[in-house]
Amino acid sequence: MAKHLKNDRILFGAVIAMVFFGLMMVFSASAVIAERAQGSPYFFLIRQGGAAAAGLLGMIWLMQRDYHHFRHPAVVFGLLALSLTALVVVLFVDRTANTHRFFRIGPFSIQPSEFAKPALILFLAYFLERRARGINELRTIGTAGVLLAAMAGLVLAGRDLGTALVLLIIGAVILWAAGLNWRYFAIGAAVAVPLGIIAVLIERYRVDRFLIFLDPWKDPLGKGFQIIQAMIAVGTGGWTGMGLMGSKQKLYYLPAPHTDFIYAVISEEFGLLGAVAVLISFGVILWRGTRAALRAPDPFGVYLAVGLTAMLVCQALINISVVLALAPTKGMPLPLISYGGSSLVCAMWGCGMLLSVSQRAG
Amino acid sequence: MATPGSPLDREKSKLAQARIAVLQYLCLGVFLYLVSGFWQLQVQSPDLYMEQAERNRVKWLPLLAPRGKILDRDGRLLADNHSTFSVILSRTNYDPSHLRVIADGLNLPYEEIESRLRRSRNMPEYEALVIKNGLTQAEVAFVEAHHSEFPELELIRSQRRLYPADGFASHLIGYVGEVSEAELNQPEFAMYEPGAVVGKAGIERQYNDILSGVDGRRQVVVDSRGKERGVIGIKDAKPGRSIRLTIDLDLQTAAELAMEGKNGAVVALDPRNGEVLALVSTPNYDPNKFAGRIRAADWKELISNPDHPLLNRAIQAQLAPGSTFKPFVALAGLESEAIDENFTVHCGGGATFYGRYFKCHVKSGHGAVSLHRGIAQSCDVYFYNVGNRTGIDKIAEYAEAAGLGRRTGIDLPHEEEGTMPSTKWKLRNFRQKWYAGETISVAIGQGAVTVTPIQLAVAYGGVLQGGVWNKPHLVPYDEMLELRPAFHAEAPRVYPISLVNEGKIASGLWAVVNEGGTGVRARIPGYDVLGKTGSAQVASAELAKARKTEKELKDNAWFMGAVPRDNPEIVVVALFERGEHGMLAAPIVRDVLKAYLDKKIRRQWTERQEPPAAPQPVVVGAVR
Amino acid sequence: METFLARYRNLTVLAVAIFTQLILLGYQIRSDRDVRLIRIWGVTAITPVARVVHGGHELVAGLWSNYVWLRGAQRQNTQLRADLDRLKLENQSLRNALGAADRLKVLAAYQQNTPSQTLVASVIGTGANPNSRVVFLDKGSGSGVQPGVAVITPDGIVGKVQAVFPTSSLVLVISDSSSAVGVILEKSRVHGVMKGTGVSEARLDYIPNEEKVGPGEKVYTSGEDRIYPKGLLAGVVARAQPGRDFQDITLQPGARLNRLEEVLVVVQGVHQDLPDKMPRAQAPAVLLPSPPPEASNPLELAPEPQRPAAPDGYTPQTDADKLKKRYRELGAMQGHTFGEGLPGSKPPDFNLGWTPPAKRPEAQPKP
Repeated sequence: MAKHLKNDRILFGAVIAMVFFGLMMVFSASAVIAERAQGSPYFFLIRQGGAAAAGLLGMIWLMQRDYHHFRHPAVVFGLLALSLTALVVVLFVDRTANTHRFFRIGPFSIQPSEFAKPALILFLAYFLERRARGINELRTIGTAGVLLAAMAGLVLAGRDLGTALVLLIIGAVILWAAGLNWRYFAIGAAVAVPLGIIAVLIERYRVDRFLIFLDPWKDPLGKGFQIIQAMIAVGTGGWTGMGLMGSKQKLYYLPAPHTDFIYAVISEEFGLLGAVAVLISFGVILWRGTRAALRAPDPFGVYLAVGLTAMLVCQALINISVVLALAPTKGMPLPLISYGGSSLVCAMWGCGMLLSVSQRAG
Repeated sequence: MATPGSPLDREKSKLAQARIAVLQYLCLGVFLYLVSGFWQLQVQSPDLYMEQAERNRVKWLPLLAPRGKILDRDGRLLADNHSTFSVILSRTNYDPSHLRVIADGLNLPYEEIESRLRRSRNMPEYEALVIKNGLTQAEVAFVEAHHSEFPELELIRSQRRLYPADGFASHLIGYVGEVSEAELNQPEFAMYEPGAVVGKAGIERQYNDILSGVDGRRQVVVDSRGKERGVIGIKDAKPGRSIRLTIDLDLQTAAELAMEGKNGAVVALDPRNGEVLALVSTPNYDPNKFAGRIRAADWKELISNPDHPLLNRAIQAQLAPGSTFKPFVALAGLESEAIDENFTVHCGGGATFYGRYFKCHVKSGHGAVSLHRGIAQSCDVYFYNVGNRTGIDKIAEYAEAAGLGRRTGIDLPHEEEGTMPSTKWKLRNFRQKWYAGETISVAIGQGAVTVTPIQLAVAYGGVLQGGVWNKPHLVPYDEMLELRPAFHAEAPRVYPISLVNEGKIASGLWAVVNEGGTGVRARIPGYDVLGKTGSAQVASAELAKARKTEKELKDNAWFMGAVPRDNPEIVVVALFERGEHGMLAAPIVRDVLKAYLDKKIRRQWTERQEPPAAPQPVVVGAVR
Repeated sequence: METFLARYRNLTVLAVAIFTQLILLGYQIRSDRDVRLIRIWGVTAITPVARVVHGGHELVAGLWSNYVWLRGAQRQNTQLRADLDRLKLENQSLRNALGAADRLKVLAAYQQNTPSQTLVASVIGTGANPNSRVVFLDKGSGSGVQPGVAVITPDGIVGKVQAVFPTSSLVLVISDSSSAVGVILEKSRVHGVMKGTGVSEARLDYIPNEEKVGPGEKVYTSGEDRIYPKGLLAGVVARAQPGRDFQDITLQPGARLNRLEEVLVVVQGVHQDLPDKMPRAQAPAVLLPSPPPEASNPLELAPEPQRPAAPDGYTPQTDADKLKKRYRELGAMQGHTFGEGLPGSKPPDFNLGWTPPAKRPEAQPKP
């Protein structure tokens, strides 16, 4: 059993490297925008640096703790209730760019949907471990499904299709790992796909995004502009890229160069090498995460590790797919790298928990 | 609660392991999908993406705002715009190695493009730089034909300034040109960027803020060959506002024609409100040549021309007023009671003061001269005596009250001051005592006293109004209120002058024209024209001898004319440099006065025909 | 163990995939001349094949007098052909010159005429992209072809060399929508710009609406674009109609751009003198200003806030110019010299010939 605590140096190192690389890229991608919009080129860097520090402290603390502490119902349900409440409340509080995503507390803004992800993972891990013998019982599936649907629905109500999708994927992955009969996945898909289509159709902009994904060149200056500019950024990177700060696309062409499209800037500035390095880093997370899951001493650890890994990797994959125009555009930061305090802190804390599992996995 | 180690759990854990492996494969599949995405993006269709990537760019194209027009008081065009092409260089994607070829094709020195780029370093990079305005047909063809080679170049339609031909009213209107580096550092031009066209002289400069609009811009996407593929956003240009001047084109035309071939200036104004009706300075220059960028040869010619065509003589020529100064000496004498109406002097062709002999311009002398005759015949000896009795400080007091030797404050840039000497002035500037002998020269408008034509016109106008001097201006006050809501019209300057004395001066001025005085050439039958000639020595006799040319020796001719006799509606001052005698400047003034009077008749005729409530804009205090 | 294996397999597959991608991206490296190496290799490799295929096609089809074969056999033929083309060019400019009035002058001009140095090249292929009209020639940098030089035929200009490879070159044809050529109209000598439209006909831009242009009028290169030597036939006016800012003129290019076989590459362009040395009689460079308005009220020119924008080519005037002309006429009518007048002379009457606006005829004044 997991009595000798050995740090997972590979995972820890990869996460730290990505965070620092992310800080550098956030600065590179945002310096010009920040100077123009905020008066200081370091504006976004400083905020991101603060978030990284908070994330690092939390990560180390979580990593040192035995993850079994999180199995306490008070922790699990407390977090779940808090995040659900926050998701509901945020709908009535804020309107940023016609979406409801943020709380503003003084100079900070907090995105509850980010914290909903670990809350969901913890809950599902806890819940499914308790119901390990009755995974395929309707009661279990019903509870998990209702909660999942409620969370995804709330996030969707805040006009964040990407995060809703990630929540569903995390849920599906944990249920899958818990041994849920594949038939239920078929049923779930049969329900989710039409719902997803409706969710897409209900908002004009999502339909547009999807149509544009199918053929960005149809409207290269209007709706296809983002995708095309991102593709151009990746395309111009070439072998080793234009060098740090060398991206031109980020200046005026790429939307959100320091958040959702940071991977395009990485591709342009560091070329294929940089892009593949980031891809490999996520590969490392996948590797160490699944390794931890496979070696975890108990189902809670397995589900926790699987869920957290799924959270990080699937977000990354979706983000990169969008940048490469292989998936329709949706607002989704690249975990650990993109600008965004909530996203970074949450991803790092997730990594902390993952490390905690990994350390005890032997 | 699952206890690790039980067979069921082991089975379960095996299942979990298998399932996690499935997930791993799934993720790997997505990784491969992404890699294929890379492959597709960067390798498979390089023509589609890479070439697009290289040059597919968003450009900001300026939309140049048309400059406001300049109109005369009746709304007739003095300065207009006509459309031309400008070429701009996109600084986000230009290739420095292209610049030499571009410079060659656009007939620009390479260094100039370079220095323009250097100067524009502080501008946001996406803003394109105008590198040449007013392209020729050939340059347009060059840019068009090299679209694929130089996608950084772009033609834009712009407005070029159109001025009257042959330098008509050039000093008044001024000209526009590209903002210079020195100007860019001035707060006045802080809002401009290199390549912008701003007013450089005259009205164009004075009211540049009103005339120049705010450029807009268009954000367009261009494809790999520099071809515009579509517009992302447009910020419309805000056109400049037009300005209506107080200038009456009829009078301006008459004055321009009268000054053709002469060096000098004409100023016509309405003394009742200070509105300038005509302002001419010759020789002039063709401002159309400045509208783009002036050719070096043209500029050199303007600069090296000994007649200084760029000098606006109407407000910048500081010359001795000669005899046109005498009425102010007479006024000072009368007001200070140094002389009275009956003061008479015998002129024998000259007189001695302080040991020096001063000549009269009529060698044989004028005989017995009274004030009336003194002004009419412009007798020097009479005014030597008046000046001697009055003293320099009284003369200076009244001349300064009339506005001589100080800027009138006309709304044109770079007005000169002139000089009105006094004991204080001499002490201040030379730390010397004033010698009474100097007063004798000043009394006939020579010596240290210098004035500008506009000063003289304002001074006469105010005196003939009974001591009310309106500030001369070129934009009507009602127009100013519309253009600048914060504008406040200045109250006229008042200095008490006895109306009796003013009448005595006016009667003398009337005699100049109508009683066989020096200004009979300005006579217009049927009207009581007032006038005063002036023939001012250009330099001292010694200096004149040193320069031998005949032209240099000739006196400057001045003439002041006004009509009608009581409360004149118009005062015209003409300066005819080297005109020899003031009487030769009189016909210039007569043409302008006649144009004014004839126009008044036309207006009266028209008004008699029009219904009384004709929708004519009523300008308070204006001539119309 | 099994899972370990699976893990390593995953990594292997990932590594292999990435490695493959790296290889493929290696092709992205560009030469120092901003052309991708792969493109240079590709074109260089394909050029001989294309030439052989082209030649074979020529032989089999027998459409044309086996120029390629002859070129290999008899250099003389090439020389003669070049001479012939050059003579055709000269002949063309001569013919154009003959259209002008002064024949002697034209001859003298022609004597000074130094034809450009040209190089015969064959078209070996056309571009694949339907949006761009390009052709490949069988002469490249090895034969002295440089980017940016003109490509012409005796019938008219073809295009300009856009990219040069060792043994071939890429020509952007004038019918491409990004092509433009500085041109002069044959009769009016008005300068304009001919622009490709992507289809066979071209557009002629910047010709003022008041210029008379009719179908059949020839259009020559002006040399102003710094690509095509001056005086070459560019096209013939097909249609002309007034447009918004300028006339809408459609041109039929002189060269048969769809059936290009062999062309001349202008290695060293020399402007042909013909448009400049021509007598100017036919060439009103500037139109007369429009006549002054009818004299109901000639002195009080009404303000014209809505004055139509002066079309280019027309000498624009301000009201001041018109008024000055009017006053000068008034002075001349009365024998009055402005600014002069002897004592007792009659002042000028600026109301001469002026009648009040006759809005109310019953209230005619008695002057």
